[in-house]
Amino acid sequence: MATVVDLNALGFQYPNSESWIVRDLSFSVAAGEFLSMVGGSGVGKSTILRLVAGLLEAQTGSLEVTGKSAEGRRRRGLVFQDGRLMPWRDVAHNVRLGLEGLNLSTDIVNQRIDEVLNLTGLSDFKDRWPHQLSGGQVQRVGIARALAVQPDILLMDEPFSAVDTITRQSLQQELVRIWQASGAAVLFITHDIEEAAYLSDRVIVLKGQPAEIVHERPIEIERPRQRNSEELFRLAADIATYL
Amino acid sequence: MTRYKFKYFTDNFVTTRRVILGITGIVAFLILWKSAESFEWFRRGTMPDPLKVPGALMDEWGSGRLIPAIESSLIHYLWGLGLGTILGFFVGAFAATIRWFDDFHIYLARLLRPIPPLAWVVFAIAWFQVSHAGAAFVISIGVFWVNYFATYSAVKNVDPRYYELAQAFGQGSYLIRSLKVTLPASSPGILAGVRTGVGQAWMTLIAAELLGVPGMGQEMNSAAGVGAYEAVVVYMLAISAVYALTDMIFSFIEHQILQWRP
Repeated sequence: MATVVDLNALGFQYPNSESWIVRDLSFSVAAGEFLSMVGGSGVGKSTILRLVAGLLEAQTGSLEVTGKSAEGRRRRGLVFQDGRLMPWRDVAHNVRLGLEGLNLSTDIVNQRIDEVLNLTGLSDFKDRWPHQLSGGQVQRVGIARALAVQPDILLMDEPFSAVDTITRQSLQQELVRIWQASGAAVLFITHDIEEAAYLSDRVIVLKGQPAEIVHERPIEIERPRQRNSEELFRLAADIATYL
Repeated sequence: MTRYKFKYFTDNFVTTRRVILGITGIVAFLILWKSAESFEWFRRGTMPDPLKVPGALMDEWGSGRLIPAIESSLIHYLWGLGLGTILGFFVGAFAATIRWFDDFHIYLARLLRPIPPLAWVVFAIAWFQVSHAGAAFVISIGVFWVNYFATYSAVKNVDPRYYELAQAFGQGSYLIRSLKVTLPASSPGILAGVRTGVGQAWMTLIAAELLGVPGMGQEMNSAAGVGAYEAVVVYMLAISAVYALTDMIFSFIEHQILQWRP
């Protein structure tokens, strides 16, 4: 199966730090796959995501992000834990951010914005300022912004950790629908194993310092999945034993 | 419904109370002022009579001195404010974003900053004589420092997470980042500096004009010289009115630019 991200023996340490966050880390994400990465706090999950996002540069090993032609698109779309909308831009202009500088015509830009806002159920909030949105809506704008660049992979850094349980569950459902509709692969960071089991095609567990993959588990439960199914609980409990 | 009615009532009450107490405050001040004049609390002839101020206003207007003085002051004001604001903004923004420039200018800034703008009057006269340019120069110095500090601090305090966001979405170059993150994120602080500069410019302006540059300050000085203290008050009120107008215009512009804020 074609891959969109390939990490090979990747090593990274922060400047002026002796310790390695990751060393010899290898894994890949297949096209269209939903891969979750779980691990305790401080294990380096967000750092790995930033490496894949191109925001940090590894000192050793190789990292390849491949996919369809990147013309008019960006290969990666990043969704932040805190939503991170620019407060001085309304919803449509926040979504527009990644499209700027891609040499797209205004018509295409507007069409893309409308498409992703429609997909994320935000069409009626186009002109709102970020402070006028709920926590869940902020996260959906973050997802729409990442989808607007038509990425091969959506990189999500604990995007639902700051919202309440009911909102989180509804956002998880929406994410599955959006992921299936977009066709992009997802690399999803979370510390919530049940969330990972519910959403993913595959879960990898990180542990130690430097972080290592201590377990890898394909989730073969059919979709749509039942959140409260015993099979899902058992699977999550089993994954938890590796943490 | 009852709650809305109550809110309507309380809002109205607050507004009405403010208007009544505000007018009472002005009347009380006028009574105090008139008493000071009538009972000669100060040296005879030095306290203007508030009741003669409207007449003095008509005299100054009729003599053709008031409007040219305001115009002349506005020329100094706008040039000084414009130059000081633009230079203060750019120097502050560059210092906050370009490391070598920050290091390069920091001792110089510490050396020059404590010098009051009026201390430069000597050089303003030497370089520009008693002219519009000299007054604008002195004003621009005060305005420069206000804007420099406001911009420097606002830009330094931009949340670095926005830079990471811009980089993640392909907006990482210095110019693009400056336009899409630094400028909008620091705009509340920068505009607060500009607004302070709008007030600071008036204060320096009058002081500079008292030294002889044509304008309201000079007219005040001339009027005081012949004991026409009511005319001095006319110019003081003119300064207040023009300042209130500029502040109102700026406040409107600021509100338009910062409408994204809660």
